[in-house]
Amino acid sequence: MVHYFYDFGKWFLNLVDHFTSLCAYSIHILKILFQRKTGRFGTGLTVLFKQILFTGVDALPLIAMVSLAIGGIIIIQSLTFLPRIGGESLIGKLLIIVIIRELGPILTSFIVIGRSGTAITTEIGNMVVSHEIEALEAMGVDPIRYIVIPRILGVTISLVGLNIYFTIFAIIGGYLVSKMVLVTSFPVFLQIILESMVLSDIAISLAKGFIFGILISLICTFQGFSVKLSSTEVPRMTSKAVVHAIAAVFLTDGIITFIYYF
Amino acid sequence: MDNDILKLENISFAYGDEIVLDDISMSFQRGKLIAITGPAGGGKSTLLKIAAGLIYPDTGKVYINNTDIHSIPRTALFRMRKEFAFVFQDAALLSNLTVYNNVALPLRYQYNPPEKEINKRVTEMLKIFDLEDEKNLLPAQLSMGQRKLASFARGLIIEPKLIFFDEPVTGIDAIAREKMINKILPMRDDPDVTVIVVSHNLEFIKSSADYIALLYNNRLFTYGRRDTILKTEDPIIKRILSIIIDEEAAIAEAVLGILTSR
Repeated sequence: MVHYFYDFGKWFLNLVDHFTSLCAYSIHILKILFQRKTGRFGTGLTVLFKQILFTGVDALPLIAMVSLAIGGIIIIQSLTFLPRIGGESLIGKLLIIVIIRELGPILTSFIVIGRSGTAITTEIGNMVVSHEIEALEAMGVDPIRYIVIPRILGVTISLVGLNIYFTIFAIIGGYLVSKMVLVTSFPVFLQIILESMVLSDIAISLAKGFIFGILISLICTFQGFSVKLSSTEVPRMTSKAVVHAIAAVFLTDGIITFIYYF
Repeated sequence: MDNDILKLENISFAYGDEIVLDDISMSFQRGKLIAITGPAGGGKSTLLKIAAGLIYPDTGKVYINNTDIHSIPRTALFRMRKEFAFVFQDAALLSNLTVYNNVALPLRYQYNPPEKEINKRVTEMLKIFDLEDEKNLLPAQLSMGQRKLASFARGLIIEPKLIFFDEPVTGIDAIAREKMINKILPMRDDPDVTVIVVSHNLEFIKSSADYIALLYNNRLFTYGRRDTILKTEDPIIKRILSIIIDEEAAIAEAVLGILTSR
């Protein structure tokens, strides 16, 4: 019995240690962000554009495919279930709540974690092992400014953009399916959606995209720097980054939704 | 003006329980080439990284130009690095940048000159190191010798006053070794440039060093003028030097084995 408590205590202390280290890392980045610059802005800008290209632009086809399918599936499910309880008029609202408020930011985050989060952790982990981070420091190039901040900005900007893109394509997906079943014209469908939408829906969706972007990039860069000596640590830290980022996204989503409704 | 560019005071360092450096104090005279040598596992590379401010010692202080580099703010240390360069044992070039961009990076980041000037200086540097044809290649496409030369070029582009070399002539082919030595030796003639080299290669040390520091059993065993150390009759120093010669021969044999097996 005692060893269960011991194991739980150990796990809990590890969790606290990890969380406080992540907080310290975040504060350190914030401090550097407001410090007088030590290097050229242009070098970081190139890294930022590359990150937006990889995380945002390159993910567009995948996001389009997933969002079209999700939009269509939600409409099929709604059209099957809602008429039974006389709720046809709620289809628009349901699409708004499910896509804009919840699925848009969450699914986009998952795709970004899978594509870019893992790449960021792996890249930084390998850079640590091959002494590239040390080399940057030796050259007077601040790794936080050169590697981390452009990635945080790149992932956050991309996530907000992809979230908007996801929403648009999910609505199009929903429209394509409803057109087959209900023979609705696009202006009518769009009007139903717009009438169901309030400003707070868009604000929450954008806020979630922004917060998730920061969380994912913070966690993934942090795990990358947690690699210390061996390349075998890289895949371990990458899978940790994925698990922690997904947990953080769900937890934050729950907190935001809770705050909004209560 | 104090003629010591670098001073180490009571430096101790351990990896976990394993003591790597034990109470090392020494100073490095401006304008000299100082070689740190000793049997493998003696903490030479760790001492070099501590001296360059890349690793924090457990105890002790490091002064560069009378500034305690481990007590100043991060940004100040990054600014100080405009004055010194570090050439890593494994070159540590940024794997996603071409040779040209690797060499240009410290210049871009630290000084931000116009692109035309960057191009002029980088091209000049690549010509000096016979790397013009490789300028668009990635580090993975180069031999270890070429990587080390590129790393050297990257260090020299900012015209540093203090250069740290970690095993510059180890693990590379004879042609690259000769090129490397031919680039290092003229630096002794510049009274403003101080070179600190960690090396196993006694031939190289004999031909280049002004001073030799001998590390043994994690302590500074002896430190003095090259001839005083090399011509000593002290049986322990002679024994340590013979260990180094044996190790160098073993390394050379291993490298030759790898090269001939390809």
